[in-house]
Amino acid sequence: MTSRAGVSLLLAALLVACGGSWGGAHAAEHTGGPPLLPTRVRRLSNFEYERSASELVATPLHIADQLPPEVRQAGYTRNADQVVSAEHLARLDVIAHSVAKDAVNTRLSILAPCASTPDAACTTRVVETLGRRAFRRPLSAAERGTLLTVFAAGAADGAGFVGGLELLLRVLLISPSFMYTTELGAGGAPGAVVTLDPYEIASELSYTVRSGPPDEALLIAAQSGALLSASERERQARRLIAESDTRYQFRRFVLEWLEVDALAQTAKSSSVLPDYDDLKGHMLDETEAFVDEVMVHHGGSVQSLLSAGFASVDPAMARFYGLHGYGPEASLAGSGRLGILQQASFLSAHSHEDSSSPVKRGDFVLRRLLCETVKRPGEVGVNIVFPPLAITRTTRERFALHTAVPECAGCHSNIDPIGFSFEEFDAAGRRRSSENGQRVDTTADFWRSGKEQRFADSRALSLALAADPQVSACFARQAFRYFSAGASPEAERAFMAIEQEAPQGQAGSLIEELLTFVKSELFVKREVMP
Amino acid sequence: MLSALGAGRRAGAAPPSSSTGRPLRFIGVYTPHGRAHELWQPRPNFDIAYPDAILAPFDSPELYGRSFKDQLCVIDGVDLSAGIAVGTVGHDAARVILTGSGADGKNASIDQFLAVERGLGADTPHSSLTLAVGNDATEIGVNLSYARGGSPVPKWIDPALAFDTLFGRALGAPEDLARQRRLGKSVLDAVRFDLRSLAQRAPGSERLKLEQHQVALRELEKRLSGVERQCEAPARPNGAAFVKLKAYGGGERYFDAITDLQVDLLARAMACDLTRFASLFLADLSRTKLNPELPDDVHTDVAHRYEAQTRTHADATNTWHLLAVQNRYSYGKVARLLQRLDEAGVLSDSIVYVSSDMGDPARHTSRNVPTLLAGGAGGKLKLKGYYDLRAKDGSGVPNNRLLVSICQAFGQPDLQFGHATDSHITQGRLDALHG
Repeated sequence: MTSRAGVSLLLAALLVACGGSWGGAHAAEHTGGPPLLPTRVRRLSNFEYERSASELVATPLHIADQLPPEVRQAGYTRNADQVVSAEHLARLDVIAHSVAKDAVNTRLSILAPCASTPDAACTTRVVETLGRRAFRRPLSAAERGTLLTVFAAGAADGAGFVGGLELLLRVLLISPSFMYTTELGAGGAPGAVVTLDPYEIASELSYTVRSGPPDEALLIAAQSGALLSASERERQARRLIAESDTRYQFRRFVLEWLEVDALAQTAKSSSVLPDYDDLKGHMLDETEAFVDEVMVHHGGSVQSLLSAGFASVDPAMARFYGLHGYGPEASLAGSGRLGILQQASFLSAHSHEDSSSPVKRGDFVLRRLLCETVKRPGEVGVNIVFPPLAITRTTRERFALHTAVPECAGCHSNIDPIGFSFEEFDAAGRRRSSENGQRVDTTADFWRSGKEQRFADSRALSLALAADPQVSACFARQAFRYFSAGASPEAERAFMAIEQEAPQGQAGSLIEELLTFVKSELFVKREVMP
Repeated sequence: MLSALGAGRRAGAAPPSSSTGRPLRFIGVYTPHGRAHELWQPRPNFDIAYPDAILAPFDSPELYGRSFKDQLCVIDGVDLSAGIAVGTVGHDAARVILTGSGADGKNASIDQFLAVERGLGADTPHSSLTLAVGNDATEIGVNLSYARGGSPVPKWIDPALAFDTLFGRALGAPEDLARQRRLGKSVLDAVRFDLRSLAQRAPGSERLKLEQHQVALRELEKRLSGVERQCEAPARPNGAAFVKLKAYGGGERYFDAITDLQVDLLARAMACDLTRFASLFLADLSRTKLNPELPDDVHTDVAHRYEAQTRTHADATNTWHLLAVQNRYSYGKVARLLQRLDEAGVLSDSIVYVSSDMGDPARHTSRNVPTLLAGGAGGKLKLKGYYDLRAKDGSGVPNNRLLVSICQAFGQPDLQFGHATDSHITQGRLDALHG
């Protein structure tokens, strides 16, 4: 068995020639106070918008897919740099029309319990209640006045209370205060440090933990000022985590981290798997269910994700894997699979249409599990020549070209061996022992300090990665990138410094990384931007 | 006749005009996978219809109504230099085509620059239009249009949604229209108040972000407060004819029909003066089953296998032929666009800029990308014939010069466009186009 340190040191040695940044994250010390995130406004992600709109109108909506895809940061959809484009607003306007109309037609008494006596007091109460729910804070007097004017405009021309409520909802759904969270605090001179106001903390806490708006308990905690306390934030976060709907947030992080969330937009040649289009939904379901299982029953750690000996499969995936049973924890014994890197979603997402891809799989491990910098061929001025498909050679033999050509070997001698260890899985993630009549070779040879290390296959690699502190640290870094919605390298280093202080046993736990962030000063303080 | 909220109110800005006094239009088009240069380059006397010629659709009256040779400029030797300077090359270089900037650029693409920053789109119901086939993602390699600040402008891939946005929906009685306008005003007043409050609290560093929101609101206002106008709208695309839209998601079989619908909508939007600035991101033939000669995966099995003619290796003609099938298909759709613009009488007042992210796709090089300019340009540019701008060492000129020329055609005084640390990349126009 290769040691955890062995993998890290080995990769450190290998990556020098490829511009790798191993160890760089801890290389520089900061002076002049801990770096903070900047004061900013953040547009909700499409999923966050969907959940927020659903809670505003008190019914589940499915609208995220109708919006333009997000611009990602570091591969993640939580991105503070996203803007509201004309196209985005045009689609939201259409959605808002439809959602508002449906809401008053089907849930009038829920949204406005006083609708049976629609007097002025009722109108004011509805505006204040829905306004607070939408803006996630009490309305200012000016906002209340504006929304009452909206309500009156909607009620005019004989449209009555229902017309007023419909227009109010339409406005709320496209209001900036609904579409953005703010991280501004009381403001101040550029460079000053401010604390977020309690309602901003409540929103940040809720969207970070459950990708949805704050519930009543959080808003009450905000009103009391309790959320300024780290222990109260932790208590509230633990309360939210205990609720089942936080699974969406953890699923989304893991799927985006694995780069499999767009699996629906992948295709395979019919020669690889004729029914791939039918199966890929099951593959994604498996990974989501697996994440749920690991989060709830196995500590939610990267170690469990990489080395769990079970799959969370339906009958279709059980058949695909050749398992004897199915369910949330179907045994993988004898299947040749282990953890998330041997799941079909990962393997097929990191493949070509017609063949496996040692490069994509190796590149993923370096970038997303070890947080190494891997340059693209264009960045180093190397021509890309795909080895031609051949009916007598294995993929591994085809990619031998990479190490034979000096301009490729600099990077690919690091990337490809990791990918070769996955060669017992084809482009669709189906297990194979041979390719084109040749036996596949899954051994991965690494060199470090003049000594060769060998992994028999990707399962051995997964176990080594699961035990590697660099992987745990990288996982924490990835979690922070996601939860912070984009941070400067300095703020990232500040988080990692805090994270390093956490008890040893918490390393690699997604929940603990989240709580570390929530409790920290990084979560509630901001540097005022010019 | 069309009654539509979306068909617009005149906002009062002076229209960009051609020498004919009619408004000038710009369309940027992306075609995938570079090209097989051997079959792309015009032959003597601007022959573009020789056997297997990639440019043949532009000289095929039997297919596209007439030959467009008199309004077609074919340029060899255009490099996406600003991208090359910072490693934004290969697939990522799609970003450079209309921005003249690599991944580090924060400037708007030329369509957004002219339409929004310079206000030339204020006069139409839609400042600009961004269409695509099969891929609505905003990643760097699949996007042409960018707003000021560098954020990608999302694309419309559903022709039915694009139709609804452009041509509006049928309205009821006039009193309904009046009420909807009143409600629209209330909505805008409230939202504008909220945005103003937010902007007052936000730091200057968030200015660009909220500025984009302000632009979006102005666009929404144009649509919500629109008035009736006369315009011959096409029939609303039948969504049942393309039940799936996305590449890799089963949409490929509908791409040919979707592309035609997008092209026709775009031309009609220009003809109706619903917009004067647009971009169109085309898809490839992968998994479309349209051409039995092509493998399922055009990217890997055609573009990557292309072998350009070199001194040492001159016999790879089949790889040229296969790539030419893809290239000619893309240009066929561009020819259809020219045909539709011509039929609507606006081609002579249009500039259509067609490019790709790569020259030789197997090498992923962003040098000598296939570059076409088409249309009459309102007489402001000379878009006719073949130019070879390659120096003896094979280097070309930055596409920024072409973008500067387009800016100048729209009456803008700009002498540079895009972003690069080397100002030689961003400065200067393409003199050959100015006659």
